[in-house]
Amino acid sequence: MQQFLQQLVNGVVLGATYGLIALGYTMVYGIIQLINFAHGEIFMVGAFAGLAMYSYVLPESMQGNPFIVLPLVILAAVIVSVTVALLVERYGYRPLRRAPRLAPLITAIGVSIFLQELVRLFYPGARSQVSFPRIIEGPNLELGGVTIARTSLFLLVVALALMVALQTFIRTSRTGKAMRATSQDADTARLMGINTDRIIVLTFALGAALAAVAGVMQGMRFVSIDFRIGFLGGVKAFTAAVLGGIGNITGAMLGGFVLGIVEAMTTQYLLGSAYKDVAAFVVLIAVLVFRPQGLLGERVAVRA
Amino acid sequence: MLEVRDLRVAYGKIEAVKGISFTVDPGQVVTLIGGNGAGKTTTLRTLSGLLTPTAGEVIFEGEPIHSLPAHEIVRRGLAHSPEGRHVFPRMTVQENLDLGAFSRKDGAKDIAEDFDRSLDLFPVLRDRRTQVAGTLSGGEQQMLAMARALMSRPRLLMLDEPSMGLSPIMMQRILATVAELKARGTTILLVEQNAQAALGLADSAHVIETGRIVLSGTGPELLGNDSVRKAYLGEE
Repeated sequence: MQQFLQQLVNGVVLGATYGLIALGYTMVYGIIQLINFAHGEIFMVGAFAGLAMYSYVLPESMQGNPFIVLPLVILAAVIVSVTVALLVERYGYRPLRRAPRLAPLITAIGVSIFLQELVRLFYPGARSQVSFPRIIEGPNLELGGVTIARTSLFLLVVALALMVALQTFIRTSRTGKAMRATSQDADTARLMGINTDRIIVLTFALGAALAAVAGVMQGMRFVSIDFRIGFLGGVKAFTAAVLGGIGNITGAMLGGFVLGIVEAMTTQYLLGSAYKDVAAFVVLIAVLVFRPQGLLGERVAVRA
Repeated sequence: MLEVRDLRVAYGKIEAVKGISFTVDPGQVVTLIGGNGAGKTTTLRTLSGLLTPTAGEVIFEGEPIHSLPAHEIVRRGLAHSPEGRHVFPRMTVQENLDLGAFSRKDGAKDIAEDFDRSLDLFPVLRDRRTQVAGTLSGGEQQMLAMARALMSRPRLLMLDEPSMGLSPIMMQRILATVAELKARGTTILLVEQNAQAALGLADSAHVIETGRIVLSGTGPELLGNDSVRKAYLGEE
């Protein structure tokens, strides 16, 4: 039982990261029906930007103080990820807005390889794993026999806060309404006076910011990153988004948590850690076969 | 108020609108009639900025608007209730109407007044404020689309096929509302497949065939025109 609870906690923490990244996939899909396969790399770039801030900008005397380090590392990650995402949107996707859907998809894969290679070749030491600071030090917390690292607890709290903030923003704010309108009917949104190009930019920026936070969290938890984390992180978050129902924001969060828990449980009880990545792909295939609209997605009816 | 000069619009190499000119004066109802594919909807979509003309000019309130993006055009007071209603299906009636006022910069009080006025025009919507628009009937969706367009407090209201696909009773109600808007002095550019009703309301009317205006006149003139009666009013 204790082991089960422990895996549940591990799964939820893991799922929080997937959920944060999945939000970017699902929001962009909701607005322009594009699977932005470069989004995993935005997450990876965020992690490296955070690390660069820590290693090359912060003076050593400050590195021990998490109250200074964390905000600055996250800020650097967010700024760089958002900038990269917006450049990709502006010069990669926007010229292809009216092109067949395969064209931006191929662009996304190209951008993905480009960003991986950029980091591999030009970030010092990034040809192999580079170590990432834990930032939040201190012993693990014990709760009824379940162990949780301080970093993990922090990650969970931040992820949940961001998810609630995002939902509130989209449900209640004027801009959030404009985002929903654009995703439901872009041309009619323009007739309402909504600048849909700006909404698309904002969507990419929000997704990138969340992925950047996830990137820093990932680094802190595993105390190392490499240029390939975007691929696996991206595919798993994409799975989470599909599982929840692509285009559905609540679904992306739910999908993230479900996938995280499934992965933790199968690792513990079924397959062992050598096969831990298999679970995600089994889930992806199962969802695509049995419930392609996802847990919360609506069946997309072809309308006349 | 609105002047369209030699407007041409193409989808790729296919020209759908081949040089159309007409004007709309303040307080007028102007209607475009014609068969499917004649270019009526294309014309309206170009006026509201969803399509870019290949040639020609659109002058609204003395200023050219044909190269402005759609979201700028509605801010200048040209509202478009599109063909097929296009309410935001997963948003409530209230949210749809809020979005209708998205372009406005004036105060919440004025918007609230217009909100009440819109709901007075379509009392059914008042009871359905919290209902999701996709679950409304076709006629109710049409009312919502019109109310939403009115929420921008337009100087010129473009209605594209407001009665299309509705039951005869609902069609009567929608057309009666258009008549009421006219009586209130709203300037309207109307595209309507019910030519009889449209011509009955119109101060000025144009018949469009394959992208060109082939006949113009006042509503009563066209109602009395033999070729119009044959082609669009179903008379032998």
